[in-house]
Amino acid sequence: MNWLDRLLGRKPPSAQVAKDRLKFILSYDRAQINPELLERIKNTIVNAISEHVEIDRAGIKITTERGADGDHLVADIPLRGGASPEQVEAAVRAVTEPALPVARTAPPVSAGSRRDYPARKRKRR
Amino acid sequence: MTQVITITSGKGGVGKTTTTANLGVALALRGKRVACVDSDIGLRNLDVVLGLENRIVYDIVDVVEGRARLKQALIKDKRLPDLMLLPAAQTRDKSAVNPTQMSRLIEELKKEADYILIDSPAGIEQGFRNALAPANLILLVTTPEVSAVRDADRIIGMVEAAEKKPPRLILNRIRPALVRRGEMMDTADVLEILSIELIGQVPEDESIITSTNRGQPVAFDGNTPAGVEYGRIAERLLGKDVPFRVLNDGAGWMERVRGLFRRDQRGAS
Repeated sequence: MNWLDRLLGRKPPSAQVAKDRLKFILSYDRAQINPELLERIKNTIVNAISEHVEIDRAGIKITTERGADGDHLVADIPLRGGASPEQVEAAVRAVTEPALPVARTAPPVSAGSRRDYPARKRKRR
Repeated sequence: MTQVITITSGKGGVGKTTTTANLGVALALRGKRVACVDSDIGLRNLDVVLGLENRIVYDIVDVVEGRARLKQALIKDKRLPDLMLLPAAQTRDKSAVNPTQMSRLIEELKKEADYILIDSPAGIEQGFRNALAPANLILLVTTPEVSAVRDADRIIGMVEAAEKKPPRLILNRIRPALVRRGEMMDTADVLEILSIELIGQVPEDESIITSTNRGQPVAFDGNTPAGVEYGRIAERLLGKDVPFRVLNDGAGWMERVRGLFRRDQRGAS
């Protein structure tokens, strides 16, 4: 969509909308996580990280991706402003190695399906 | 060694039966003995698409239940003697056959053919499981639409769960003009979402309608847009390296110039 389209208030082409919607739909179809649970997972991660780095909450995307070894839960968290390597490391550790037991906000994901995945959290600048 | 290929989709109406019929014709035209099997018991259509509906005497359920031998039920196409059809029953339903019976029947059919193409029904129930059980190779047909791709994704999961190799994708009913305008997902989009290997991309083609009306699959002619692509898929199944090309529906120069000014240049591929 070019600048003129945006100026005239035209919507993005529907193929892109379809693609985005599919990615969202499949992220919970595949992992058999309902949207509510996905939202809670997102909030847990965001709360843990935002103590160490400033993040753009609106831009956070959590999706599932299919890899050669199975499905992955991927969190894409835009950082706002600069963040030192130490801050980023602290943020990652807050999620992957919590100091205190994480309060259970949701029931565990059912382990019955072949699509069990290791949760992998990636931070991208 | 006979190859057993199951054509499935999840979503109904995306072109499984049309694909099965046309790939059957394309392979038979290239000298292979092909047996097409309609596993959509209760809602058979492969016979109609192939134009063999008048020739049905016995069907797959008759064979499974012992009322007929396999060779009695197999219909040889008079246009192409290397092409055979094992029709489904119309008066029963998917519970009439189970995956074990299906596998046993296909095992016997291997003596008669180099390629067995199984037309799977839509859905994920018994009919689909029957079609999946004997497969060496699974072709997943989908159109570039949200519902179809969503269902296709579920099928991939079920194929994995059945411990078969990942299916290969046939993207069907592509409309290059819509893709150019950004109003239809292109092959790259669908591949990115489904993450399986592509084996064919078939354009929307009016001659499919007329061909079904006549019971004469387009692959016989091989000159229509879809017919050409079915031929290329057959070549790939035979192991030839046929490159994937950019689909073009002969858009005029104005369209192409306009396309240059779009930031998000989307070419059909």
